[in-house]
Amino acid sequence: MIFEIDSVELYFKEKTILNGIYLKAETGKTTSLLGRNGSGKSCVLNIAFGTLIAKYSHIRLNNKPLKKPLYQTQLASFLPQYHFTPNQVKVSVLFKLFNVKWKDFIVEFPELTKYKQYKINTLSGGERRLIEIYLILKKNAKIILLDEPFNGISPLYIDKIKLLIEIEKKHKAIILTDHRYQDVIAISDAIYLIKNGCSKLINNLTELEDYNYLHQGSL
Amino acid sequence: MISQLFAILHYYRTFATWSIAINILLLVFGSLNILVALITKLFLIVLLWYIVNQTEAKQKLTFYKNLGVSDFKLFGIVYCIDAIITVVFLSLINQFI
Repeated sequence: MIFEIDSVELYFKEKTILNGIYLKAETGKTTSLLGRNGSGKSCVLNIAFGTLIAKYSHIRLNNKPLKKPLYQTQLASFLPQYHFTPNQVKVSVLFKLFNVKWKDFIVEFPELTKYKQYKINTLSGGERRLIEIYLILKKNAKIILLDEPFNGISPLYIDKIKLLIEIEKKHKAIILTDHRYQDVIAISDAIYLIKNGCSKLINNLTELEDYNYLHQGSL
Repeated sequence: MISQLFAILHYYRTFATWSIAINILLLVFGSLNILVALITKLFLIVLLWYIVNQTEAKQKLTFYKNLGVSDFKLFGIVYCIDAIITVVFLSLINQFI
């Protein structure tokens, strides 16, 4: 599966947010988006998934134009920045709805076994986020969009999530964005930097310093 | 498809109490006409869709989109479920009045 999004133009009232985005992701690779706060990274993911309508955007799947929102194809799953699971739903029900095996989950995260019959809003923010990330990563989808998956997650769990991403990317195309650039760089096969509304494919990591995304000597 | 329906039913559950309250209000105001009730419910579901889309409640729709359920499908099916319950409710009341 090859996913491409290009010719994205997004405006909020008079303000130009995005005006020249191209991004390509494919099965077997993790593609990352980096950029400063407010650069439009989340907007790109939302436009890709179909939850935000841009003035112009063009999405192709395996070189064929997509004429309906990506989510309607059920080929993609999207982890937004916020808690997306409805309150009051039991954890076990969420696993059934997403068709993800609870048994596999507790092998990875045995300390969360007790939460099976808990309502999702009774878990801590980090635990809830962890379950949401797991559901999105493990869902039967070809394209996975992750918006700040490491935010609010403890370091040990971040390592486990990175490992999960490495496993899942073998049969999925993964697109992610996060401010923890070292973790992002460690798992990325391709990196795009968003600056001034445009995306730039990063061929050499030092370009991140040249484009003033990182301080000189950060790498 | 079953998981989609189950998720939509869960969404409806959060509004079920309000829906029954509206049915009772319709009875109190003497309207046993099913058509009037269905039009009222249609107006309310459109209003609900508008409010959800204008507030942070919109974020919760991402859950349903992850299951492949569009806004139109979600609110359309919620309306259908509510309409069936309303028709059954009013028909039963009509039998006793």
